[in-house]
Amino acid sequence: MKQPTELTKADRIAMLGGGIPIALGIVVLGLINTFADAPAAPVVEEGTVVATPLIPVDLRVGLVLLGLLVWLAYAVYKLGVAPTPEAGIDRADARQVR
Amino acid sequence: MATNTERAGADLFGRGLALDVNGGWGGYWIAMLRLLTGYWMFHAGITKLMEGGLMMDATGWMQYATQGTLVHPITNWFAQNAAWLPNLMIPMGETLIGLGLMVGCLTRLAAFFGTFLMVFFYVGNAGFGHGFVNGDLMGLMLMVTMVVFAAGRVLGIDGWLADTEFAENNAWLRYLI
Repeated sequence: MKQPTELTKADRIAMLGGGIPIALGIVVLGLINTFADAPAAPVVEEGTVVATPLIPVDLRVGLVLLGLLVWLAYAVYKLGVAPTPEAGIDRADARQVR
Repeated sequence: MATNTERAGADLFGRGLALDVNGGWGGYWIAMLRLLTGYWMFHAGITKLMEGGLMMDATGWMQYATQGTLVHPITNWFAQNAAWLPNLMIPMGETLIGLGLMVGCLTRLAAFFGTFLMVFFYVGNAGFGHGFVNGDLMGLMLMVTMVVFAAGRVLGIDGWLADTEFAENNAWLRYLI
């Protein structure tokens, strides 16, 4: 029986291709921006930009979008893959996390 | 037993349901949620610490912003009698909760305090102008999710901690990790 944890190459590509840009855009670049004491987004006072982020907002959002698109592509790919009988809901000896 | 072989599961109306957290999509997603929830909280805390030092001034929020809400008697009492405690605990707590979640260390403990904090934000921010299900409630629910799934044991330090002899001999530690 196919183990539920058995990952295909597509799974791994989607996990890394989706997760890395999102973690990079939000967490890694976010930490760099935060520790540089820069605002997360441009600060506008009376119509004038008084502070800008170290990491451009569009770059960070773009990375998040890229990750989401990878996950979407994976979901579309999965729609085209016929499920195997073993891939149904696993009812086997479920138990709580201790 | 090692955490990375554990499965979160339940028996729902007689049907066994299992979430595989052994490196599959379930575990991946739990770790992803933990990382982002952690960064969200860490950012909220560290920016307060960088801007205002160790103590922030939350008295205005405690006294006025929460007026008319169920938590106002508590927040107002603290604002008038022991403001130093929330002023210290909000930025420090947010930072430590976020750090704990990001690296997956003492995750259940961190998420418990995160839930505690979010209860005050959810009830205290009130107005509910955006409905009862709002961003604060979502944040609260994410914290509870971290506790329920012991999220730090997937790609986190807790996974290693759970395997130590100390954890094997002290079952109570599982309430914290």
